[in-house]
Amino acid sequence: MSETFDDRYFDLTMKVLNYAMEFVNQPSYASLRMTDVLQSLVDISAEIEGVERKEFYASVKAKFRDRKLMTTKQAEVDFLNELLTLYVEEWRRRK
Amino acid sequence: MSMIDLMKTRRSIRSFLPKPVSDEDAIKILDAARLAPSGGNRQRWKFFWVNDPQVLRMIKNCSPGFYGDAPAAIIAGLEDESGGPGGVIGLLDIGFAAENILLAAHALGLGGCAVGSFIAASVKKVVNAPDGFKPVLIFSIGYPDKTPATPTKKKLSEIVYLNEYGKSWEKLEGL
Repeated sequence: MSETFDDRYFDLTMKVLNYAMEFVNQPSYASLRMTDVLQSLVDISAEIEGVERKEFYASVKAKFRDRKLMTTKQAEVDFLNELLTLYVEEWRRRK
Repeated sequence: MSMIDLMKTRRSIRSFLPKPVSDEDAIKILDAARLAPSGGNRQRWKFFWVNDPQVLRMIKNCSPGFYGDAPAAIIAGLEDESGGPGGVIGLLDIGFAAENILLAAHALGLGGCAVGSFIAASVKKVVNAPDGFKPVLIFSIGYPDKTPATPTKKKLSEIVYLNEYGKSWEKLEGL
């Protein structure tokens, strides 16, 4: 369904975010590790040819810069929800 | 095809043809959902018909269990009321509606699969659902590309007792 590489990359990173959300209530580090993967994907996005949403990934990157040590599950949930909001708003802008 | 035959031949479809589902068929499927029984006839359910490819794409991003490029989907969920969004009875109601959805789709030559693996918070945000709405199941809907073989089912004699736990019913021998 995705047409451009940019869309495919957006979908991929959003799926990783959703996997992090899926695992957030499990007693493991799976959610944090998936969030780390997302952060890495966002970090390298500026260097990938075909990724066009530079401004969007910069805003996600900025959000990661504010990422503090997650001492509670709720803090983790809130952080992931903030990322989700960025993604959905970006999708709505381009829809 | 009789209802019994529909039940016998329905399969969970995860591979679809790139052919849209007509609004007429969509309405028939959703009407079948509407006619399902619900506890106390409370009908606390709400259904979203999703046929916009962009919305569908986002739903898939939020649903690891959504396989295949289905041209449409249904989100079935419960509306909040006093006492929470339906409890176990509400979930059972969605189950009744789910079977109607899948059998109606099959009767129309369509197919689908119930998806329970999705991130509810994400799906809600994508479809602008209010806080009190709880998505329970998502269904992929479309024309089957591949129809899977009949899965192995337990024998009736393995799952049915006659009057008492553990007492087998001789009429079910071999069934």
